[in-house]
Amino acid sequence: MFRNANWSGRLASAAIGAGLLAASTLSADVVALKAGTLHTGTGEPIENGIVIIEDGTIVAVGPGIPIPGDATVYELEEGHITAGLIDANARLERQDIFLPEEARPAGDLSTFFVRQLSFHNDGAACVTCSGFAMCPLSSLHGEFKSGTDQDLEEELGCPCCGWPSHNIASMLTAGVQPAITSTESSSEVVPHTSVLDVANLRSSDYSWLANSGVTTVFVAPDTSAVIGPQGAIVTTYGRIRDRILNDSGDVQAVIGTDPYAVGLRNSRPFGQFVSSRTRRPTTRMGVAWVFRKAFADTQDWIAGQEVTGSDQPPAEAFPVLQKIMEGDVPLRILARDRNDIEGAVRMAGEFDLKFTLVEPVAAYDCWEVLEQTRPEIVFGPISDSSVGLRRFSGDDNRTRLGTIRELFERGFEPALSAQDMRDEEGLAGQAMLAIKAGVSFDQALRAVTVNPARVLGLSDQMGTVEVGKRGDIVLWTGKPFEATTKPAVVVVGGRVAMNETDD
Amino acid sequence: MQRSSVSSVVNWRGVISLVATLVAVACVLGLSPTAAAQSRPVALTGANVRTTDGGVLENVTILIVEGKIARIGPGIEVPRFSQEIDVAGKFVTPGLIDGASLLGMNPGGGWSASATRRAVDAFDPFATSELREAARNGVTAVRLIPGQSAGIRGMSALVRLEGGDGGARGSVLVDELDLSINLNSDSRATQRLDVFDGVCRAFRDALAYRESQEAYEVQLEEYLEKVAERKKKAEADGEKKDGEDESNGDKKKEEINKPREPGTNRDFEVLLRAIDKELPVRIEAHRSADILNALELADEFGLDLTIEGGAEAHLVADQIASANAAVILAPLTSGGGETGARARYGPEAFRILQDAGVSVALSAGLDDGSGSRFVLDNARIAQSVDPTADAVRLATAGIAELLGVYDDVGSLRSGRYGDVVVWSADPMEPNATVERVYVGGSLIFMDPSARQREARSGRRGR
Amino acid sequence: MRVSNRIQSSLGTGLAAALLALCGSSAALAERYVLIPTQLVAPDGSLVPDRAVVVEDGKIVRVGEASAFERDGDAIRIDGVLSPGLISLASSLGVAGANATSETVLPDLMVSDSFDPTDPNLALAVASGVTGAMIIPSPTNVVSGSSAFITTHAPDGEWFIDRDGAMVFSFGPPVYDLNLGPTSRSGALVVLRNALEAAKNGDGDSRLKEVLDGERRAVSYCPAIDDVDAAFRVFDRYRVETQIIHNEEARLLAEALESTPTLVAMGPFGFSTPSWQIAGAGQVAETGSSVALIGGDGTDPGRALRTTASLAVRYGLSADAARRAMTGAAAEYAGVDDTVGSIERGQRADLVVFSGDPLRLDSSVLWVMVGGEWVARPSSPAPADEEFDFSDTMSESTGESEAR
Repeated sequence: MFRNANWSGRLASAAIGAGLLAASTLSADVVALKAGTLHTGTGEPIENGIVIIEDGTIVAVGPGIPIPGDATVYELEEGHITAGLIDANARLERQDIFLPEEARPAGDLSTFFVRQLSFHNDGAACVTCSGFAMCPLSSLHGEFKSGTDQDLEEELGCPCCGWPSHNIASMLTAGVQPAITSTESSSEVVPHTSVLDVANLRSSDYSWLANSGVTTVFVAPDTSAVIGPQGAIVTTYGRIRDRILNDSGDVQAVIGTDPYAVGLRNSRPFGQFVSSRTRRPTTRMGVAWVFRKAFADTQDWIAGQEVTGSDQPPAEAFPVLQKIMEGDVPLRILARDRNDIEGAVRMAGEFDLKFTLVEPVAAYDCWEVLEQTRPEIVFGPISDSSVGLRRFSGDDNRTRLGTIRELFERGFEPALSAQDMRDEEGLAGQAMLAIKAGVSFDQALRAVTVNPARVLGLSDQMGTVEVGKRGDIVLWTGKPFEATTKPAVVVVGGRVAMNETDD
Repeated sequence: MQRSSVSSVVNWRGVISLVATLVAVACVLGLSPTAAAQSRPVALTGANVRTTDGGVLENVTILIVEGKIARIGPGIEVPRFSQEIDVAGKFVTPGLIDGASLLGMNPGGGWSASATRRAVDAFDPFATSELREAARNGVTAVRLIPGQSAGIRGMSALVRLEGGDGGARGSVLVDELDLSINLNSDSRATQRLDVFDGVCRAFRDALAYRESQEAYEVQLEEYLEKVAERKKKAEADGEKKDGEDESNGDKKKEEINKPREPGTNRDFEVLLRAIDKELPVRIEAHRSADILNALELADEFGLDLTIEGGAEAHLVADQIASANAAVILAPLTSGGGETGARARYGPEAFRILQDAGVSVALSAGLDDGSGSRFVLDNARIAQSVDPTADAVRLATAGIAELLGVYDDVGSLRSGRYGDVVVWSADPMEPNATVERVYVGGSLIFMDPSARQREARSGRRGR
Repeated sequence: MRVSNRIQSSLGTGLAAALLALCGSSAALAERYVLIPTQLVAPDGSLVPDRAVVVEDGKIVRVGEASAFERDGDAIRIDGVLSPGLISLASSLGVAGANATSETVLPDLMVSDSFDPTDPNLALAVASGVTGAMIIPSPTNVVSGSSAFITTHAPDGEWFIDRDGAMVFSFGPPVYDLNLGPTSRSGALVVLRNALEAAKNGDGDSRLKEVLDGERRAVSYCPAIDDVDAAFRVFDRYRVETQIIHNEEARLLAEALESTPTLVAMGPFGFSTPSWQIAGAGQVAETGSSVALIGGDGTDPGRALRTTASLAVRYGLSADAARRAMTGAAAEYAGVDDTVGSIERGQRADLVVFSGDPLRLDSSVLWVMVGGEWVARPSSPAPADEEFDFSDTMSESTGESEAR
């Protein structure tokens, strides 16, 4: 049957499969949404506006336009329609972990860094630090079976993450940093890897996102590498292959403390173990040095000169770094603190790099520098204290609620992101917080639709409700970003991801 | 118009009075809408029932009244207003019983064990999803063990998965079923010494405690006698006192010390119950060395012993037989790829023990109680090595007898709890699934596809 | 422990007499048997009655109507179910020292070079009904080398049915090693892509090139469902079809395979496996992928495999597919289905007699035939009417006198 990898045979069966697939999508072909207010994102809202989507693309927008007879119609008189929300810096919960449905604590992001027991070779592992093969002391992990050897556990603690008790919540409360990340950690400079290779696109996190109105996300890597992997742009609903819009997106670099605070390296509980691959920066200046060296080495490499010095980037990284320098691969720099922001601007300037600035928490403190360079900005999440994953960062998060408003006032058009936050602090909630901080409704709407589309280079496909764009639409139960409003219908690429109307 | 034509056909007054009568009757019979379904007798009709000699009786009716089996047999009379469920062609067995489980117990964290700990106190009767999973596989009762720590763990309980409204909840049948001890030392050999030593010491201390209690009793009696004596003497002396001068320097007043009452030690009292054979003792031991230790312990203190687990019990079958101990075998096989202690399990153990004359029952409970789903599978594996065994009997009457609860559960006999399972086919067939589970006459589980099928065919209980 | 073989009374004195007679001649094997069981496991996995199987010179030469053979001199009636020998996949039977930690891409290694025929587990495997096994190198490298297929009983020393089989690739956590690198799946994929590109351009490994050219099969170890997605993504670029092994998110596998049916090996399923996991087997079968089952190693791999299959049936796999999953589909997975795995003309005579349907947990192994030769179980048996001691004969032919 399948024995001789017969490509034509496989094509045939794939063709049949594709045919069947196409047949199934054709049945939900034409979708029409009608609401009391339609925010196109291009001007004044339209009253009693209608959007018609055919085959995944918007074909008509306007008041009182005829609806085809075979269309599935969703209508809410008091509802509002907007383009699907876009998160330009999403940290997906499931990227790093695997837990069976029954075992997942609902919405508990503290499980971000944990892998489930069952993957360990001999059936047991350190629950919190997913020791097994990644932990250099994995041979000891046979001892740490939960349940039988509790005495030993309590005495020594896990040699991997150092925590005496394998209780995730208590670990996090005490500030012990998770040890494992999904980013390739054999080097600090890994732009040749892709976050798509570690993402689990089947994670239920995507359906959470879709149900909250977010139709497209930039899957961002974690912040453990100085020059990290390329991200990916995926939609939150549909067949896996259809969902990947761009599998080689921006490369994310991090200036700050995260590269030495987050991840499996010389962070304190791990201090006693050093391998040939764990020579790392342990300071901010070390991080800056790695960043500079990577680009300096690339210049040498381009010029055909020999690259010298220890801790060089891996060979595969150079071509990608070159593309970054030439502007063919976009670069993002995550910098939270004032000195990190200023440092990023300065160092990027040394190599003439254009970049998008991500999570500039202390933007309110560096207007001069920002107004000089005017980078694209991805901001958020908004809060008045360190929340979510940022709790692990060593950066002093002197965050202020009003920064987003100031960004708009000073003429920046930032994209707003929720990163790892969900539910009330998910992307729609972030827009609500922005409005609370003084941002206007239109600005807030732009921050989660038009602006992220532009930052991701997909303005021709999404961000507004216009003919020719992707059928990514949300029909809200009321005015968006209000506390009592939620999505009633979410359409992603013309397919209905969620429908809570009575139809 | 229409109304008048209707009223001309129907005698409304008659209807109203009829309805009123019916309601009155219903109230009398407790059939008001709020009364739970289990107050109606339940009759399963047309069932196939396996007999004790391996045959099959057809067309049997099982009548459950007020939670207990009232009558069972072919063609018995069913009272009016009974809920009749037609199970023609299906098999009915007693509810399965798991001999050792942690089902519904809040997991994790060190169990600090002592003889007074009771499994029943940690049991969460509303752990619906876990209990339902067991019910889904035909299990209606489990013996809960008090955790897995080493040494004297505490007391087990027997719980029936009762519940109404289609959900499984727990209800305790016996709250102090036996004393559970763990001599298992598969993690570290040196632990064996410590644990066993600790357990022996505990029993010896319990006996010493009894002695000191008894000594105290004796001393107390003596003391009271002395006090009474002195009092008498004092009274007698008092009468003389007026005349005489007590210049008896040598006659010292004897100090009568009240004996100190030894503090009550509840742990020891439990151990004493075990020593007095009032409480059976069930010791988890897998390695033959641990089993022999258990036998030694039982011998020294005269315990009513059952070995639990017993991966290597078949190697010391004769010793177990001569000690008159019973064995509850842990899962005979994990089914795939597990290493460690379970790798030593083997189905042959079952037959070897039986041949040696040891009373053997089975448990499929695994660490988190999920094994309760596989009680019957485990029994089937036993039957594969011993064709004279009957898997269904092993999983019901067999374990019930060993646990001493056969009077209440584990069989389809009148007077026993109405805990029965309806199977889609002979439970020994690989395709057989559980369709309905009744505990105490209440339906606690019904297979959704069976429900659909019945709805479609219009076949329903009245 | 003495190897005492005995014949169930149900097999009849005919077989007993036949074998006794054979006992007399030295190292003799009857060259021709005609087996007439109560039921036969057909190549599609169903149980059929009234069949006769003719075995000659170690092969199955004919399968026909029982009535045609009743008067055959070599006919033996068997009260039981005759099944193809069970096949253990992803096995470590006889494998010693196959965990290579020098590099992460090692396509030149062959697990057959690590095979140790003196492994006592081989005898236990035969006794439990497993007549063949696909052995694989340890999945701790991105490319670990080639797998092989062995028979579990080889008195003539010919253990290998396929010495150099499918190439094994790994996408799961065992590959991530701080010292060997890579430390994440993205790093592992970089390594793999580099190796495949080099092979494609002609300056890489030639055995990897065989995989790219479709001359050598690929088996991918993918514990998580996104590992499966990653494997498909990598191999799609090179138009290589990969088989999947050891996925632990069975319930999602069906979704992933919907448009890419392939050969899948699932399991083991045991008493501690969640039901949603086991249900995955039936769901995957419905997508059109061929499902083979893994029972795992241990002291009774045959029973473990049958338990896995029985549980799979309980949760949705059809009984016929389950019987096939232990035999024919497993052989197909290992690429040796023209030699073993089904009771068909031309196949090796690797057969097992069960006391009932092999899916029933109360069935046991009665007799095992490997390569046309009866092999009896060395473990302690159930009581029987007649006991025959074949220890002399067995020790001559197998070289093992004391089994345990």
